[in-house]
Amino acid sequence: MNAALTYSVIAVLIILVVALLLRPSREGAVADAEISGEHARGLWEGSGLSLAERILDPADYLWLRDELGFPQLARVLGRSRRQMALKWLKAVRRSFDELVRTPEPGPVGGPPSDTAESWQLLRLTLRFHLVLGYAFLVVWFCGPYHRLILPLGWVQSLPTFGPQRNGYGAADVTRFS
Amino acid sequence: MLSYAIGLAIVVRAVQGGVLSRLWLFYSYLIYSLTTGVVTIGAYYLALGSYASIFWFAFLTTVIAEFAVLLQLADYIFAPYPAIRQIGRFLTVSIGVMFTALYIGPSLLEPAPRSLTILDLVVRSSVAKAAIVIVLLVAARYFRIKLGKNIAGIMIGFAIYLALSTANFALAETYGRSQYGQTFATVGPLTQTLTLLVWAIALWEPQPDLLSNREVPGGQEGISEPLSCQLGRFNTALTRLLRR
Repeated sequence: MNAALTYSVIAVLIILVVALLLRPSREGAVADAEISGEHARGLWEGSGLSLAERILDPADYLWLRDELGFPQLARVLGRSRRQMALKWLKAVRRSFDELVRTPEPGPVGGPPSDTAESWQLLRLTLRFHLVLGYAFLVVWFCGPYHRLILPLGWVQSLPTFGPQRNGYGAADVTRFS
Repeated sequence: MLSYAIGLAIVVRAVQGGVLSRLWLFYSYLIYSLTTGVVTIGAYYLALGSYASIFWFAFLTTVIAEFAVLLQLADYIFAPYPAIRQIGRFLTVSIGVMFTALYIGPSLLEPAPRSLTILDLVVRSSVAKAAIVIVLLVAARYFRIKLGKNIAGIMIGFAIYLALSTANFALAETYGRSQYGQTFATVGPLTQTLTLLVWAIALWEPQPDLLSNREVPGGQEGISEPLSCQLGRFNTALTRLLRR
């Protein structure tokens, strides 16, 4: 009796969830409108990265709090910086997704290739989303000035594909353009 | 009979549109289901003694074939996007293995009458397949991939079929043949007809295939370096920025 009831509820949930998932997403369309392709590319250029560094840099916050002695103003600044950091991370995600969603025609009439490279691309994509998701959580809960260096140590130890082979791995991020 | 007519119409329409090879496993599954349906009806009238064995054999092979169809759909959804081309396969196989090891397998090892074991197997495999459908849709939504009417319709049809099968077989397992046998025999074909109707509506107008379209709008345009380098560059930049 219990099992039948449970599975009947599961059956209803399956249909409801699938219907919800297949609804057109308004959020995605709005986000796409907010960030154009040009802006997205700009995020990874020198000025975009400098802006991100400035948002995540606690120097202004500490100066306001410790040197000028305005802890309340510093908190307000911290909150607004957190919002900016979250917006920047969202924009970064849109920018990355735009690249991921760039279609590429496959072999005519043939199945998609199952090469080692496509698995590596997937690994890089998932790795990026993992780091970004982690950054979202940290900024959301701990603010933009929380140190990410220790928890991200293991990410750095993951082997990278492509960039290192092509000499990108050790480059200065401010020079990516 | 209605379900056979609809199923046949879907296949004929696919042949006319030249899209049979695009989702060849899905259409093979459809043709196999229709053929085994005819064979079991024939067995019912001509060889009643072997009807039950033929029915369950055909049914169980169809249940297993559905996993392969889902794998093909998973490949098809993400195939045009090189960076996530394998994600559908990765998710389908991972969920399939996980459900088999933790949910389907252990129930097969429990001592129970054969009929109950078969019913339970169908229920659990339907739940596993529904989980695959949901996770694939979540992934497609996460990456904001437009599925198109054809694939979205196939997914809805599958969801309806799996949901109704789960409930129908679970109720049959609980109440038994004496109490639920007649309803079970009615709901089963109704589920099949409804599913085929959804598929027929979704597949009536074949949509252009993004994979075979050599002139993809936006594809490769403005990309000056291999995708792996770009993805790696994004990863490196983000990681280094957050490590400062």
